[in-house]
Amino acid sequence: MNLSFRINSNIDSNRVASLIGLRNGQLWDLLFSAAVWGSVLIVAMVFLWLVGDVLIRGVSAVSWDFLVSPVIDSGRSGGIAPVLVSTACIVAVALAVAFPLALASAILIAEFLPRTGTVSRLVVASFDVLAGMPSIVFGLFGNALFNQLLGFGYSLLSGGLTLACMVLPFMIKANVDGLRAVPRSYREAGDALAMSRTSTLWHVLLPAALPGIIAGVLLGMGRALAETAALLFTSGYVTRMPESLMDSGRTISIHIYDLAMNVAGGDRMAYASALILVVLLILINTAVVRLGDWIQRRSLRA
Amino acid sequence: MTDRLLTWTLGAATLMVASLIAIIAAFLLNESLGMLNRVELGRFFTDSGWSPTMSRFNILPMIVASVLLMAGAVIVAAPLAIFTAVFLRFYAPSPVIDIGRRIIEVLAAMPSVVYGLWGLVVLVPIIAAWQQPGASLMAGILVLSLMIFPTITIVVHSGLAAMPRHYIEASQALAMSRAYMVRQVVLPAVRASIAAGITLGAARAIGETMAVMMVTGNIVAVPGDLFDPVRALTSNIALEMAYALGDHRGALYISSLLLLSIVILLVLINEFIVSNKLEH
Amino acid sequence: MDRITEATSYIQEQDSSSGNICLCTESLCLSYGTRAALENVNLRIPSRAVTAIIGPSGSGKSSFLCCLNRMTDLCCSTTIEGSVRLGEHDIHRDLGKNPIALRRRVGMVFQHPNPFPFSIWKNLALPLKHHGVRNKQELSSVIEQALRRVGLWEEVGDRLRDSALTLSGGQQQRLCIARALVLEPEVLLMDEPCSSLDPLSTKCIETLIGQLKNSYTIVVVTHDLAQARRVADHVALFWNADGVGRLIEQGPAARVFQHPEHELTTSYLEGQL
Repeated sequence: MNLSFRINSNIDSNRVASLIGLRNGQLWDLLFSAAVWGSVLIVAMVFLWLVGDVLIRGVSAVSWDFLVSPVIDSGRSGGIAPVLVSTACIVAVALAVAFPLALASAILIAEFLPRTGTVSRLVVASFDVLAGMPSIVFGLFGNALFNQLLGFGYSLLSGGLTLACMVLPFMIKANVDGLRAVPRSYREAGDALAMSRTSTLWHVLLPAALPGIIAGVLLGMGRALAETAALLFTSGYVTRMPESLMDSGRTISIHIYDLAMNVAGGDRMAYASALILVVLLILINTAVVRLGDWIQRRSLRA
Repeated sequence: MTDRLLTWTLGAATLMVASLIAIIAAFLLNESLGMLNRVELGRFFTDSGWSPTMSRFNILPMIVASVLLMAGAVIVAAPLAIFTAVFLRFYAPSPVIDIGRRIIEVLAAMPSVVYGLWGLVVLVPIIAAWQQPGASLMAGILVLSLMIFPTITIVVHSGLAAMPRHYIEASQALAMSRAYMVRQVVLPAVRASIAAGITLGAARAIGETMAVMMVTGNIVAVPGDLFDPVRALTSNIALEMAYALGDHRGALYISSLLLLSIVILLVLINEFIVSNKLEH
Repeated sequence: MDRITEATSYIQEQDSSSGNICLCTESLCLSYGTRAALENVNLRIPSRAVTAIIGPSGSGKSSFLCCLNRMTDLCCSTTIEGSVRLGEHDIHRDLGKNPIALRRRVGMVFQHPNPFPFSIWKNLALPLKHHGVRNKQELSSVIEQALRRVGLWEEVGDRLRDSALTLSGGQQQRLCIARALVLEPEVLLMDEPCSSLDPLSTKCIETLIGQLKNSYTIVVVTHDLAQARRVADHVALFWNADGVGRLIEQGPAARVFQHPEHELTTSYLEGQL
């Protein structure tokens, strides 16, 4: 019982804090909570500033004409039609190459390999390194393999293939998550009906995992759209309308970079392009989130 | 029969994807090898400067710049990110939580050129008004910290969300205030997630090219203070690759190998942290 | 339905004369969102004694316990009506927005042992430091005293720096009791403290409860009737009627076990329900 007395007597022991009428602990609590709210406030303001800046400066230059006109005077005037076409081509090549590989690897990892086995840990570790690799390093690799060794030169094809390597780990992860969210009972039902694994996979698992797979494609698309450094030395910078996949062309990200850094007076158009890019990415992200929620709701129900 | 065919197809695809990292490393090495045979490795740190066309290959200033940028960005972003994650888990009123999380996910997916554009057009002039020339180590650190902030926040927040609820119940029953609980129980309990978030953020910071190149001024020199312009390893590759030939090209591939090994190291540290966490 | 209300009001009159009441609830109602969990609970908890709360699952025993130290605040959609009095204070009105002062006086031990993932020392030092004990020597002596009281000092006194998670389940639960006791609460709430332990550890905890009741008011929720018979001085039986928890009988343990007044109590004790 003299213990509680001792605790009470200690409450008053901190003089500095007691001067302003606080216990020692309360002072720290107050500082901590202030730091939490302060950080959030700072961060929110900076990001609001950043997004507001892109929105306000971008919106004045965006119009329908901007989207369908050719690039004129290094981008100072005209629009971004060829840039959008090149972007679409590169992203399409990247997804077309990466998707089947990603899906196949994801099926093997999620359905066939034991989750904690050595093989699957090694494979996953290699994907982690791939996911963390600087994009400029992908650019150098793409330049050495696709541009030079395979002789594709600076082309949409080289750029797309390089991006395919880059988005692979992200797509695989989304596909694996999608497959793992399929309730166990689906697989057991397949086994119980004596279906072969192939037909269980084809007729039961893949349709059930479809939202996850689509989310993976969208995620890969987002990554590819945002990428710049890996394309500088693979797809090149040309502003012409591409006529085939072997033509060089620039994506919208490179266009923004080039206008901002290398073209005097290109800021206005850089912001307009940035706005288009940001809106595209927000749309993609929203779709991914919706699909994610959908998957989660279903796996909770099961 | 079809099952076996399927397994083989899947196996082949996975093998291809899993060996991609080895293929990439092999290509980078192959491009560097010619130069490594001719030029001693030590010269990358002892040559009198970086003028690769005159075969002087000192990349030390760029390594220093990259490391400073990474460290600075982590120091600025990590506390902000940890506090924000705590806010979203313990302080935010419930309608804010979902919106906040989504905004942070969108920010994580924002392209680096957009951060770079904002840095170049808005931030650099502000810094220049304070200390010339504006495009500097400082600008690089600030832009990078914005970029890695969402990454760290997401990792720490998922750590907080996965923390067993009974730690919170126990703290509440022990009459702890919210702030004391977070400081003394919650943050120590999720220290593995914090470490993982920081290594991921650091990997992203050291690998970033575009945003850094747009705001740091790109002058090859060891910076004397925060307001000196610097050139990162990544920017150096992006700036010179277009016209590099012979040994110059080799030197750029060697710096990319260096970058790759730093990132592999960070990923390994991250794996180690995560697997250690699983053991407890 | 009517019979239940009748019985409770009758018991209320009968017990109001008995001894020193530490905690009492008056027409306490609790609901989660729109779903009612407890209705009209009038319970008196005598001080320095063990009150066991028994009843079938779903009868609101644990929810009731959570009302006593406002752990219900952790779920944001709970509403509480009626009052809970600790001494002369109403814990919802007098103790205001901040339940910390209350929880300092009303400690709690949970169903599953929940030590923090830190050392044994740090588990006990954290709440002390928060309440102003910073002197290292003082900390050591309080911690030693707390560990001795739960009989852990002999077992772990030489390895206070080890992680608390390395202890066995029974040791962890005793550590949690020690942790609740370092703040010298008046009341100790225990939510099925033995349900995840083996018989030996259970016996150890029961002995401990017997010792602690000389200094603390103890409220134990248990679904184990035999345990209630072993440790309780007073018993309260909760019942699930129409999906809502109600108190149907309370009184001294000997009286309730030997001469139950409510017919549901009789059949529950005989194991017919």
